Amino acid sequence: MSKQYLTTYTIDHAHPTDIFSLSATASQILSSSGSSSIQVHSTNQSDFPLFQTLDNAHKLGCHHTATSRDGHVAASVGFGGEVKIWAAGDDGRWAERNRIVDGNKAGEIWSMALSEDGHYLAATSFDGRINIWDNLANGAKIREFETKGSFGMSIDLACRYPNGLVNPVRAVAFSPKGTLLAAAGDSRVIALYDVSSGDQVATLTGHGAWIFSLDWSDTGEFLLSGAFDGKVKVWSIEQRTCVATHTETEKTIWSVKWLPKTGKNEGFAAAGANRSISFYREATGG
Amino acid sequence: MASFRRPANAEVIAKIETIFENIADSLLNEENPYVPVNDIFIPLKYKKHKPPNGDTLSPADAEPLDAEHSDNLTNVSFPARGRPKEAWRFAVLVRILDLVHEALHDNVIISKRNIYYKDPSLFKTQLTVDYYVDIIAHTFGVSRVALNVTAAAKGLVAGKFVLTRADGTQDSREPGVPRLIDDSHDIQAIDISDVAWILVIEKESTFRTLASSNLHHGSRAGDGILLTAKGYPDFSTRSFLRLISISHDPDCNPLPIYALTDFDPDGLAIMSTYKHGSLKLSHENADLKVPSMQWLGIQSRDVLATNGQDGSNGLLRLSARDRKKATDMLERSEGLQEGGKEEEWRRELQVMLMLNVKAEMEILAERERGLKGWVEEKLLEKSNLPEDEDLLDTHQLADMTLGEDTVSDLRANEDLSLGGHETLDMLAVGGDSPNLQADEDLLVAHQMGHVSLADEGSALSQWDEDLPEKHRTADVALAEGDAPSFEWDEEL
Repeated sequence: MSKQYLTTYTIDHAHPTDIFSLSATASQILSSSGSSSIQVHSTNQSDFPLFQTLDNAHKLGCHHTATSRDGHVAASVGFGGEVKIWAAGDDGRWAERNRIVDGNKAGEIWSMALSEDGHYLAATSFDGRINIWDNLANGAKIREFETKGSFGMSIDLACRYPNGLVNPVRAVAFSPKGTLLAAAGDSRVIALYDVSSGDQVATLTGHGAWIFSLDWSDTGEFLLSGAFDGKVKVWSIEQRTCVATHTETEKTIWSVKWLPKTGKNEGFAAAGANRSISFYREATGG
Repeated sequence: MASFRRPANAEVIAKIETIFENIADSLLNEENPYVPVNDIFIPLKYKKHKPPNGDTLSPADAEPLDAEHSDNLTNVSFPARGRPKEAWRFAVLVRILDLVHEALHDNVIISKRNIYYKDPSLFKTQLTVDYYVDIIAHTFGVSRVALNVTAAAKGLVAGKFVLTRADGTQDSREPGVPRLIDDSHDIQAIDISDVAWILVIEKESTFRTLASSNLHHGSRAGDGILLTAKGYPDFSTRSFLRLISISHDPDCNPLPIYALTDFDPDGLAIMSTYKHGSLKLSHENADLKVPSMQWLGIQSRDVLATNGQDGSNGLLRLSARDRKKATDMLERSEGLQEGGKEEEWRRELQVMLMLNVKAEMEILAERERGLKGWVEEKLLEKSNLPEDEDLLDTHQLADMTLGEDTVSDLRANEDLSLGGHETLDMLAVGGDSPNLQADEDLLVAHQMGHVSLADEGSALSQWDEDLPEKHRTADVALAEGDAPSFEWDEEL
């Protein structure tokens, strides 16, 4: 059984260069790119207007952003290695709150995840270490985990290192209830792991190119994936199959993100080398 | 001493600075009664029996301690009353030490030829430079390479072109065996009307592969010139390329100049050095830049295009050094800033970092059409010409003689960075009447002989092998406190 998603809107040239990362809150989508600014667009209006630009956030470009689930805290990390923590005001506007300064070298913090309330930041490093910082305690590092030393390209909180994928893993994501872990990358398949046992419970095949981004829907029913060849896929976890494929572009999709539900319909956003952000909504049918 | 260690730049820099500091101290202490007269000197160590090897490559040759008993220790003093030649030698040494110091400090390689052309009126002949560079290396107990000085240009070129030399003679190059790059100081003009493109290649191995497959002669992409500096380019290769880049008829479009590099931070940095000058010296090398250079490959789309379809894609992971290099470039290189001239390069570096991959040119050899086929495709694609069209007809380029202005400009600019010791130079040279023209003719004649020795390597070694003979003569002359340059000049 397949599902239908319609392109509802595309923000053309949201950034002057490749969009590397998307993060969402209840009413906003944050996008970062090879340029220095972070853009914030409103997702609760049909034309997705630009809400705020965080100018000169990262001079060398910004490769990853993250938002806390409650939507109050965001984090961004630049190619120069600097990490900024942003707080949303009552009006929804973001302001820099603090920085993780820890003598960070470039790549020391690569991919990040924030805890639900934004209190903690977990990040992978270029040499595969995972560190956790306390954002409220002036960005102090509170935990260090050593791994086998592979380049950590993706992280989700409560991370457990997946085994079984030989090629580089470029994206990992925990299901909302924390029972399943999805991991994907150069092997072009998505592996699902049972978190409690660590066993691989499913393999989702269908992508023909490297997979760069994964995101679970709120309910955990669907998994979203984006790949090097520009294809975006939606997977049914129950059926363990791909239920929708979108090919808006042949250019790399660097990031995919589910948006909060409006009414009954789920929607998502995808962005990448074509510098635009495309929004999709589930077709309501009849 | 069995263990020979090549000193790091810093060690040689320190030695040079010590010499200069001692000179400065002496100057400041002129009134000091404890300092004897004539205390301004540069200590040198001459080899007495073993002639200095022009190209000290083996550790044994550079090992100074073994040979100590046979060394002559001499101080070249200033002002050295009654010995005007010694003042000149002092000036020569100061100048060479200064240039070596600068090269080491900026981490660039200079050739003996570059040094000569920094101040021909002081050095008078190339052999002066060759001789004293070797003496300095010997005195420091290091190989010449450790001074960042090379014997000659390291670059290679293949293709059809005609050189017109300063003395009006012409030298026609056929697209056969690659040869060492000609010294641009001796070139009056280059006629490149027989070729349609110029391809600068990062690595020698790729250069040789493409040259032996005749990419530059009778390929689908038309005839061209292949050039490599074997890695980061030296002055000679850059100035030769620069000369080619401005050698076109003003009425015609300039020949396209392409760069073929690895997909890694060093590949981009090497291309950037040709195009924009080295990161550190970009302000000084304005006249060595080739701003029209275009990136032929390999870029992310070239190496990643097939990923996902085949498993063994030949991609490599970035090392920690690669990541640091990429970040440093993004941080410091002017063209790589947001809105800068090289946004494509910025994007490629970011993509390298994102994917943590790099790829070498060899990856193309495994493609269906091989390395040559791939480069042909790219050249055709870039030139926007259908494959069957005759490239030579559309790229008719007339010969053009470089104006005197251009040539002297090039030279003048090389001299810009100097000037620190002008007073001293003038003082020292004052007594002599530098017969510049005669010396230059001499060198041209030498160069001709050099060039006619055909392919690379042999020319170089021949050139260097000649030197010990002269040096031996000179050694004796020096030991007697006489000036070497006269003998050399007469001999030549």
